[in-house]
Amino acid sequence: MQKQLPYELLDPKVINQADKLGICARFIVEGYMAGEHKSPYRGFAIEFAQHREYSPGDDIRHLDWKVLGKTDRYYVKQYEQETNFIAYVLLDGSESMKYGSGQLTKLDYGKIMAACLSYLILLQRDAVALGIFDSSLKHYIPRSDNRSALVNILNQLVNYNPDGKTNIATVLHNMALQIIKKGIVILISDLFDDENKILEGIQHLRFCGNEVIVFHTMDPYELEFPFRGLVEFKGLEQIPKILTRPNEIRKSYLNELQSFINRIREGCEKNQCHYILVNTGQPLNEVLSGYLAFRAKTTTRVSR
Amino acid sequence: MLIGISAISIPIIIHLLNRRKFQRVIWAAMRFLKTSVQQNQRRIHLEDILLLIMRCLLIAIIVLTLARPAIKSSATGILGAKTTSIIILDNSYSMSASDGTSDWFTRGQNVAYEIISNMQPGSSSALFLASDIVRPVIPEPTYDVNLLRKAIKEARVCGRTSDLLPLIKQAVEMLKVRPAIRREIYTITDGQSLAWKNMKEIQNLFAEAKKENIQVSIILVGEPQERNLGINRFSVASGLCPVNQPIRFEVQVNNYGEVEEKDIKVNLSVDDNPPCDEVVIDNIPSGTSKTVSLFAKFYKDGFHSLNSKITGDRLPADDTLSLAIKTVKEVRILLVDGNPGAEAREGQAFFLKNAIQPVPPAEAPQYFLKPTVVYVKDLTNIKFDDFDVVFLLEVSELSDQTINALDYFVNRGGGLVIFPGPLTASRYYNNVLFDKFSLLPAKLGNIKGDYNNRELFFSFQSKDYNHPIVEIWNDPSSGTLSSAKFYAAYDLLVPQNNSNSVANTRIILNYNDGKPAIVEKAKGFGRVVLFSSTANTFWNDLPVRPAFVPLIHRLIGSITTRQFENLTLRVGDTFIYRVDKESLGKDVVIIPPGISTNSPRGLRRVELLNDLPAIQYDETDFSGVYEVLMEGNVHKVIKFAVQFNPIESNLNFLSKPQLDLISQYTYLLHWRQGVSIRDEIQKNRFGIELGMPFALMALLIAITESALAQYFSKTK
Repeated sequence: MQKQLPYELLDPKVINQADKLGICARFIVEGYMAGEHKSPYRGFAIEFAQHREYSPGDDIRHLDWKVLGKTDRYYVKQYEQETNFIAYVLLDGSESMKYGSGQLTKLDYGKIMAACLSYLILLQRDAVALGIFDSSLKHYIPRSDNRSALVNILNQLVNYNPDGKTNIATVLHNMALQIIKKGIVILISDLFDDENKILEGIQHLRFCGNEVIVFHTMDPYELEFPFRGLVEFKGLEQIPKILTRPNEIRKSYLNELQSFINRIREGCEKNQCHYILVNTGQPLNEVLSGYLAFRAKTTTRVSR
Repeated sequence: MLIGISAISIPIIIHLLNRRKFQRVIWAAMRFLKTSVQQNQRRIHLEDILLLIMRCLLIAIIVLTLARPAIKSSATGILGAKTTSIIILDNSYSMSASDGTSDWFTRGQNVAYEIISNMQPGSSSALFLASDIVRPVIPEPTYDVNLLRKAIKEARVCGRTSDLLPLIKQAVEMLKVRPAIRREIYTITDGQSLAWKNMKEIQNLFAEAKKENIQVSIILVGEPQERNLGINRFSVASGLCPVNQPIRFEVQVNNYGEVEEKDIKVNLSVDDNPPCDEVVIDNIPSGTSKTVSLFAKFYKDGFHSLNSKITGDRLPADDTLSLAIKTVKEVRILLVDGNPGAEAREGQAFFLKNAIQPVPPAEAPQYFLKPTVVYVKDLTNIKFDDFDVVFLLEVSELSDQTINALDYFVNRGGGLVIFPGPLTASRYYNNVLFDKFSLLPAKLGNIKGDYNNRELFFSFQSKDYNHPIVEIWNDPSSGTLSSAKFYAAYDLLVPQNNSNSVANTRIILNYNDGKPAIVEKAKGFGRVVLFSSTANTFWNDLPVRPAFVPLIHRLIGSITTRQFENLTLRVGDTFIYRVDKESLGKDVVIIPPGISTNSPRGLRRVELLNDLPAIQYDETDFSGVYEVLMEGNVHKVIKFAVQFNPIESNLNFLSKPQLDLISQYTYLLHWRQGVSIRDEIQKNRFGIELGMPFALMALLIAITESALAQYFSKTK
């Protein structure tokens, strides 16, 4: 793919469709601005959430007098606070992402996806941070809710060239430690690494209270393995060459791949993460809007 | 062709080249690929190897198919190939030998049947009968098995000797140009070493056959024989064959065996009647022969057949020998006296007439030799055709008319005997009779000796008589010829350079100085005998010697039987018999000996031979008496006898080195009781043609390979 201009990363179709859906945090994130997202911190904000039995030490200002008058019991009102969220977009920039059977490599696709997501997040006045990594975090743009930050993000994405091996787990662990303000961690990667370690990293992020969305980007050829004849596969990331007849091992390959995907998917579900298998052959708008629609349905309160 | 097997390397090369021809892909998901390859590597490798092997095998089998392979195998059935073969069946008379239960020829026939029945459908065979000549019964390979069987069944042992060289040569030459894969020569013979006398040439032919991939099988159906007695010779010993006179026959019996034979009975039978005479030979040592005399008397003039038999042994073919003669009631002799002399005793006619008719005057009219004496001047009134023999006694010259008549007389079978004398005009004889008419066997030279000086004389040779007329004097008991004294005689100048004359001229007797005394010449169907001295006592005393009468009788007998000499032939000789002019163009049926009434008979026609009508028949392969029946006169049977070649009676078996030599180039097989020749031949048969099975196999492998390749290349 030819060198892109920063704004070329923003796919108008994606933006158009995704904008309507918005980015809905699946969980109530901790926000520093009263925004469109539920805050996990219950207090005395606008939206009533639930009653809780009074316990000594509670502020008596939150006693529900009406309930006390009717039932002679002490209940405290709890409210939900709408807050803004922080999205940490982590893009896998390892060499394996350089593969692409069509015009777009997985990395190109990931870059566009990251740009679009960043734009959408900034558009709804949420904060976004971008990290590009291979075996470590190579580039990191701190969180910002300023739309001008988009320029930086786009420039970073456009100028990035992959050259290293993947070590996703380390990056995820580091991110879990690094993130102070909980948010949504969006991981865009082919996940060609030890899946157990990746899942440990995700678990770490989840443990720290982050929501994790995994966009598992795979090239259609990787998903279908349509090669015929004798093919020499030259591995990216310094893996030795393999000469074989692909059609004779297709089933075995697809089985291996499927079991890998299944393990990742199951691990994600176990950690209550969204896992989206992204076929880079599909248009991004379909992928993203499909996910956002799904997300909108599954969140507890649909955004406006 | 098998160089093509190197084409097996083609799939290997293609395989290796294909390994170098592949698509290069930069790939990210290597970990799944690696795992999959590791899981499937062994299977893929095995599939590759399997396909490679099958492809190599396919190429190899295609090459083998094109190479039209054949293997030595005993297998029969659908795998067997068509064969083009020549069966040579020895029918020389040594094949009539037996072990007491079956003769070699019957064995040979059975072997030939087995060979035919062993052929694959579509095979063809020719059949040659082997003796010293090639008799192709079925000259070109035929697919008609029934015809072959019939030909084998009708084959008979002939009287010929055996020589395998011409047969094997013809068979090899014939098969060399045949395109068949499997070409075979089967020679069925008895193992007699005589048939292999040209071993070196035969060996070369075998080598040539081997080079041409022609399989030669020699099947020996005979066994070595220790003993064999055979009749070597059977001939008329008497000079003449008159009726009512005892005629002497000589039979020579040879012991070809390795042990001495004793008490051998030899008998003589006439016209298939019971034996009329028999003698017993006490003993014949191994490798020697003995001659006995037997007598027969004939009461009718005409053709007679005679058989001489000895005690039977394991080779019956040489225990009987046949002879044919024609007996006569009388022989009419014309004596032309050119110099009667002053007294009757001075003329040559006097001595000859008495020698011809050595009986008292009272018995003379009954005597079978009837001499008539005339003078030269009376010749104009004489018809030579009324006589059998004409004697010219010291005739000085003859008229042209007489000479012409004489020439015709001789040509049609008459005998002419010339006794010269002082009045003989030698120059006239040489110019007219010798040069112009070719009647004389020799020119008359100078007169040697002095008839007035009786002190100086010369005589006939005293031994080594070769001519049949004089050969009885080889036996001292028959008297002697050399006692006669000659005082004068013409030098007989026998031609040396004229090949025709030389071939027809033969010296009957020499003088003791080696110069010819009596010379004969065959002319047309007749014969001319020229003496060098007189038939009276003027130049010699022969006429008063005891040998004179038998000499003249034998001479007359020899001349008169000139016409009938051809009645007894050797196998292979041509029978020629002169007949009268009226018979020209008539059909003649010849019935060979020992054939059934349904068998084919020889049919000939009387045709002109040297301007004279004659019967000719050359298919004289069988020993025995032949009968000739002429159209319009079937009751008058002409008989002639064919005698076998006695060389064949020597039953010496092939020696071990000879057998080794033969087996170097051929498949040598000995007939044994109870052993199936069919199986033995099949074992050695070269071989089963594997073209079709290989083609089928190639097809099968190709289908399997395609199916496997399809299956292996399916997505897994």
